[in-house]
Amino acid sequence: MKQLIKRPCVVVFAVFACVCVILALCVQGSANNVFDILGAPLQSVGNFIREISLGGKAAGGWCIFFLIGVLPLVFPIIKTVARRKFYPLSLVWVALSAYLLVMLFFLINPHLLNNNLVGNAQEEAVVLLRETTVAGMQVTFWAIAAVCVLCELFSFVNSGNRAYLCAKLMVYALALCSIFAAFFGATVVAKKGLNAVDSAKTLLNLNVPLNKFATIFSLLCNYVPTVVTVALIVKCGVVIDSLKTDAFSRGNAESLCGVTKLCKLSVFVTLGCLIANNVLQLCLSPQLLNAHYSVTIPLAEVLIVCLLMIFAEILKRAVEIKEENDLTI
Amino acid sequence: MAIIIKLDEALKKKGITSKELCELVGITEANMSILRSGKAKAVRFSTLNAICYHLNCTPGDILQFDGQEEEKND
Repeated sequence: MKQLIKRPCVVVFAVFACVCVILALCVQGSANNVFDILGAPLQSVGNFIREISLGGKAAGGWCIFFLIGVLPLVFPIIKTVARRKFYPLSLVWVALSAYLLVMLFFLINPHLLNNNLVGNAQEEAVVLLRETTVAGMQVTFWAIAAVCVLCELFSFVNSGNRAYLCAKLMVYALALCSIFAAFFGATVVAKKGLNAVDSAKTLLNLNVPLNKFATIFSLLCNYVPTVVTVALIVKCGVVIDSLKTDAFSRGNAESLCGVTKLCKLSVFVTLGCLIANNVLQLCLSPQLLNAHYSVTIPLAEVLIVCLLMIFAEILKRAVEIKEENDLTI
Repeated sequence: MAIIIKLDEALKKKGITSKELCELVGITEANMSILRSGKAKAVRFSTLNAICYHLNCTPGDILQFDGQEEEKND
């Protein structure tokens, strides 16, 4: 474990986790969920262009609009020019650029969504529907962007060595997503919970310290499994490196056994934190402002543990066969 | 080990060194060392064929059974 802590990627993950917590604490109160926060940059761009256009600089607004809209095309153009070859996968970037232009147009002119969506409905329903549509458009944008990145990664993987690099990148991306979900998402939810408790102080019989303790305990129950999962992911990165160097070395079979044990620990820690949080919420529910229960069955994690154990056995046997083969003259 | 390798005697008889035999047979010196020390688990017929050809001997000249069953390491 000490060797794992010394790896540079662990420092990067730790810094990223701290940044996520700080961002979560600084996020505006009007942001209701992660989707609002993810869509904030695009919304800000739309608002900025609208303000420029309404301020008498319509030409500047249109220029910025088209510049931002064609930004996704920069990467495929550079790739095509550098390699002097057209890649059909570049068309997904064209789709992303086209979608970005359409989405930005509606973000700049949100009133068009009103006209297109609803006729004579109440104003509140119109606003809700418009916000939902905007959130959906922004989520779709990020989904298409993720598809573009994945397509480029898969096109990059055309040899065994690159597959190792791609696997390592995906593994570290998974770690970053886990850290973001826990250290940012859960912190935002906890912050909202603590604010709600402070707002409800005037309610009779509300035990404020107990409510805050329950909120922070829930937050820790999100943090701890994530830390164990990230440790597991870092260990997987180490194993991928050693598999690339020499797949059939005895150390790899032992490393895989270590990964399997860490995987089992991750499953138990996740389940333990889940049970502990639910038990606490249940015990304190009469005194809590909002009791949150969660049911998460880590089927994917259990499946990964089983597959890893099978792979470790196969690799152990392969190493024995290789050693025997090495002693065959 | 149940099978004893008697390469040294065959090499002395032929008058060539182990290194020269490696080059003639096409195996590495490390593998030759493994073979001579008795640590080898198996010998390919092609390798045995090449050794016997270049040493001008029969397999019985370089392989001897000591009458005991090999210990199984499970």
